[in-house]
Amino acid sequence: MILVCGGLADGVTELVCARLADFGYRYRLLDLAHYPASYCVVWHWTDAGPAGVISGPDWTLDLDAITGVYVRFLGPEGRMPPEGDPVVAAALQFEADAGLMALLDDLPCPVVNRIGAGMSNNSKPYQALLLRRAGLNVPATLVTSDPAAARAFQHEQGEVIYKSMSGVRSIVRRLGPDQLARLAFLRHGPAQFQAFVPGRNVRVHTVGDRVFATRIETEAVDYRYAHLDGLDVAMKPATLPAAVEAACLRAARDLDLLFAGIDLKEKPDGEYVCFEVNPCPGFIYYERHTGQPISAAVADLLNGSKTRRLA
Amino acid sequence: MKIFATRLACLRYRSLGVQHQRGADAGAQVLGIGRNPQQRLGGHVDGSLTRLAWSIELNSSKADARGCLGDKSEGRTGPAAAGRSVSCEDAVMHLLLGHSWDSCCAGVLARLEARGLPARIVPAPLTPPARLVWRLDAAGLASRLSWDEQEAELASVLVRGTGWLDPAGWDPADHAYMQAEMLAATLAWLTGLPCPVVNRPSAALWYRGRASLMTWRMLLRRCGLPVPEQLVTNDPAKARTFGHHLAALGVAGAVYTPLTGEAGYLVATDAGWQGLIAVQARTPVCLSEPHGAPRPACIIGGQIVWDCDPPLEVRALEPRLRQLAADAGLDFLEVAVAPVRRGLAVVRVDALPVLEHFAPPAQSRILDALTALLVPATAPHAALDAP
Repeated sequence: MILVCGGLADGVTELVCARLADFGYRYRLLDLAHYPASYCVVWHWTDAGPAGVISGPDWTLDLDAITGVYVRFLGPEGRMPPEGDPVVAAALQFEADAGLMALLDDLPCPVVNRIGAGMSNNSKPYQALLLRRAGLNVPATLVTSDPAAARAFQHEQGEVIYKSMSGVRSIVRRLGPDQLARLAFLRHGPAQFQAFVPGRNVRVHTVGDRVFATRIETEAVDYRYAHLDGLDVAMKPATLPAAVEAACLRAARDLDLLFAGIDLKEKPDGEYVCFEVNPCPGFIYYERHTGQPISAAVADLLNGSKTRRLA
Repeated sequence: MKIFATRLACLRYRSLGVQHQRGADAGAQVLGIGRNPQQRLGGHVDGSLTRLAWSIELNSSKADARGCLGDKSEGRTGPAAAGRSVSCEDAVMHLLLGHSWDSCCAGVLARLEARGLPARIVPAPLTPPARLVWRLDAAGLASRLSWDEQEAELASVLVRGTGWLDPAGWDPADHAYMQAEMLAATLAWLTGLPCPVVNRPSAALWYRGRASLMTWRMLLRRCGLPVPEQLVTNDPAKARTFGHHLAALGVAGAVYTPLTGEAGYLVATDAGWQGLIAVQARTPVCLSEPHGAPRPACIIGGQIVWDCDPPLEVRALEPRLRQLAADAGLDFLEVAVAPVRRGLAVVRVDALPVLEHFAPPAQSRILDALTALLVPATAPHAALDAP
């Protein structure tokens, strides 16, 4: 039995559930919007791993029967409105989530993905070091609180972009005259600059040992927000060079991610450069544009199936 | 077996009735930054134009407050805050990333200075007036940090903190963003330092600093270290059954330990069990079998320092404790071993050892060993990408 932890209002979780249902893979949904209020949990640890049950409104799942877990935690907007003091409610929700995370960390079955594995995404420059070690090229990156260093970097690289270093999402922007005039603000703390890499965006999803590459054609600096600039996006399935594909799999494995979304760019000279790895990829966008069977691969991974079964 | 309700700094048994609504402590909210990055996506996507690191517009009050930070904050400029000022001759230094009130930092600083080695306690190494230039490209990693216009060549680093950004003068939303940015930069900076770094963190450790014993269970089990029996449940009947099960084995009560807090509460009376039911109505609770008097130990490099000389059966755990530290990638780790009904068990693991858990002779040995790690013949865990 597969356990899906997420919110039904979340399109990605909904797609995973739909694919599991298509394939006849048995699963239970622990709807995090209603967790823990609508569930009863009894998890018991002795010297072995955890034992016990999770009970939903009309089902009970023995931990020993779980063959795979898909988890996609929700932000406050995905939860039921808190009762009583919001600070206390938030603290209690953290406590409930912490218990669930501890359980998922300790289950012996495949978990997509364990919490600790995703932590590297909170520091992009840290992750860049890991990606480089896995054999992926990373763009020239400068993290600095020194305006002179930022100016020198731009002078050397020509076109430069800036973006957040942490897990807080930001729109990638080019460093232009307006921003250069405000470099003095760097004194408050370092920011991340990268050499602009020309070429075509390629999004890679690794699912276990399978790789799905999607080429994205757009004029936007950050294709995720192309619509904000009135620009179009086109996506096509792509084939990666074997060495790049192997490096992507190695990076995911090094990060302990059974399922990863890896952002690459293919330069005009054919070289591939890696920007980051997303431990909780919203793959629905790519699957819908290309028809690539990413959710099918996730379903097979959770079920322990080696053979892809298309709906 | 006689059960001791021993008070430790990090394990306080209290009346559940008084404390049960306290829930998770502030530490949980700190952890929230890293635990679930998706939680913050929505708001920051919308506000991204004003959230991008250095492009944040500072209002005048914040700018004023930032101007005061150099006077108010530790470790930035003054000898009073930083332990000592750094002169030009002191450019090669040992950096203690933590606070001057941390006895570990203070003790190591004193030892390094006694050897004539320049050292400095810095709680937030990347905040003003520090200037960081960290560059990764095809040639590798090059990293340079300057304070007071003087480049800091680091001989070693002891990690005792994560570099908390003083919120004074910051809009709360901007502070949360900048704190996340500062944590991200500091982690990368520490990871790439070519010098010895004691407790060079992984992302998992960096963002889940004081993790509960539950979080360590898998690693402890892998190392063959026993752990107390634990139950997580929001079913009051199952919690009470756990209490009865322990009582039948001669153990009075169970210990309720919030997974996002550091305190433990002995639940042994009817009032206590009723209080627990009130908590369970909102969240599952973690109950552990009570344990006897804990015996703390520090693992420093390959050395283990016990608070007092342990009996043979405790000492027999040493190879597995060393393995635990090695598997966790830590050079400096505190554990506590205590008797439970089935023998000995590890009842606490802390990647930020607390010196006050030890008597003065053991404290001294710990500080000596820690200092030796910082000025080593053999370096602690190597950098991920040396220049």
